[in-house]
Amino acid sequence: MIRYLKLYRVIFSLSISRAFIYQQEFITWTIVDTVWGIINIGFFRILLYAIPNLSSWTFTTLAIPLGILYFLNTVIWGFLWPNLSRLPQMINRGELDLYLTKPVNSQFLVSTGFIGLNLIPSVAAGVFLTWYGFKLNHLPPSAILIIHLAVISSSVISYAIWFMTVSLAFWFNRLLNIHHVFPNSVDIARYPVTIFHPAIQFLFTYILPFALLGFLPAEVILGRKSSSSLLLPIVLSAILLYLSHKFWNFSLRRYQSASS
Amino acid sequence: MQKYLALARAEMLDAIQEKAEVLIWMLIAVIPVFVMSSVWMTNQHQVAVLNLSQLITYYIVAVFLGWITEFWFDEHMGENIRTGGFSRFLLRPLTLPFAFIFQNLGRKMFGIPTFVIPTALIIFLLFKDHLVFPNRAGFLIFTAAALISFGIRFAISVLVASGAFWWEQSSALVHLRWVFEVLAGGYMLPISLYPDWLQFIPRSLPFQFIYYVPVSIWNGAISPRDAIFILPYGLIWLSVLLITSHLMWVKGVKQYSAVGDKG
Repeated sequence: MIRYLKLYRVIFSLSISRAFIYQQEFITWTIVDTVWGIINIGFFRILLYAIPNLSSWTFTTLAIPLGILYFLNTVIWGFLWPNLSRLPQMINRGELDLYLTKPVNSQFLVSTGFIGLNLIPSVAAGVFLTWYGFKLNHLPPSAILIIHLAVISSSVISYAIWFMTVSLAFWFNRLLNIHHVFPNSVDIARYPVTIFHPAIQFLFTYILPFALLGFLPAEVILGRKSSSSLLLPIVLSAILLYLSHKFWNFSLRRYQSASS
Repeated sequence: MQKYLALARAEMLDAIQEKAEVLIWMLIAVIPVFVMSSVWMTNQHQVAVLNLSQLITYYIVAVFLGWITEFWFDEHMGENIRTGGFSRFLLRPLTLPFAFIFQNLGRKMFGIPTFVIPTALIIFLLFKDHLVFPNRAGFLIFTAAALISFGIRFAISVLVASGAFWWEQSSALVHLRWVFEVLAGGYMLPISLYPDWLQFIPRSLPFQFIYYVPVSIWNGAISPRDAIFILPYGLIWLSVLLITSHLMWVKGVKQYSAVGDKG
């Protein structure tokens, strides 16, 4: 474990160096992230201008799940996207050899090699929305602990589902856009699950648990659900992480190298 | 003309090879229809000037219009220019960027009958109680508005692609195009739902002709009579954008240089 933490520290410092080398790229994408952040907050502001509430969520209460989801957004686009977006092409071109021959867990290597540090605006948006939600809902500072717990479990759930989806590339001859499926689907997590049909609610709670990413922890923070509800995302994140590891090893059997 | 048809056919064959990828793009595009329909169904009352059926129809028609009018050649232009891969386009006896239209149509020739029509049928069955259809006059005006939307999206993609001749980080321009299409085009929310003070901005820009105007003609939010007065503005925007994008493209191609071959 310590070995992997040390390795990750090296990867992190390399990413900082890369951000300094490609300064124009860093600044450009920071601006792009800021614009997307403004749009996402603006969308809910306009939506809740047009309708009084979204399944009993007003903009004031919605700030809590949106804050959690902004932190998750940072993990998705900053830590996961730079790695998982490369994976389908590496599988298709037979370029995984480089990772498989190293004396480190291949899943760890393909999932952590790159970090995008241009997502500072997303972190800022997350901090702002959380502060705004806490202030207007008169929440105790101790509830910040739940935010931390929620961000960790949501990140693990997102990683595991996304990683398993991308691993499907082993099973098809060409599936170079499979990495787009999860980040596009995760937008569902921005809406309370109660807006959907009961069958879809079950799907998004237990099978593709988008409902657990932001809204369930927010309901606990707001006192709408008991603290024990938090066990579900925690247990599920552990199960999904284990399954992603098993599925990766299983899928690797289908990998055919392209070396001469 | 035959060479352009051959280009379209080659692209269609390419799309057949990548059918799983085409299916994924379709599935991704359908997600907002289900999400936004659920949002409006939980608030079953009149929202501003639109009723529930008009709102649900808005998102369904916007998704299909988006599929039919979208261009993506600008998304790869930055890489093509950086690696010199753009040279292979210049060596062909084709007029650029006009050829990109046929390249695009080739993919759609495969995607429309295999994925778009079946998806449309499924959506029709799921939402048939909430769908609004225009009358014959409305449909004709919608078709004209959809053609303007197609032209505007093409011209904007050419402008974005031209930016890649000068700026290495041109993929940020692609994001900027998405932002404007989503926000000022009315893909995210109909412009009529924006606060009055904010509506002034999207209504002053050409992006409203990409989604908001054609879809509002379909769902009856803009009457055929009003549309006849609005569409000439769309044509003016289309002309301005086509001229500007052509000038930018010609200037950009002159600026382009490549070393060696990257076929």
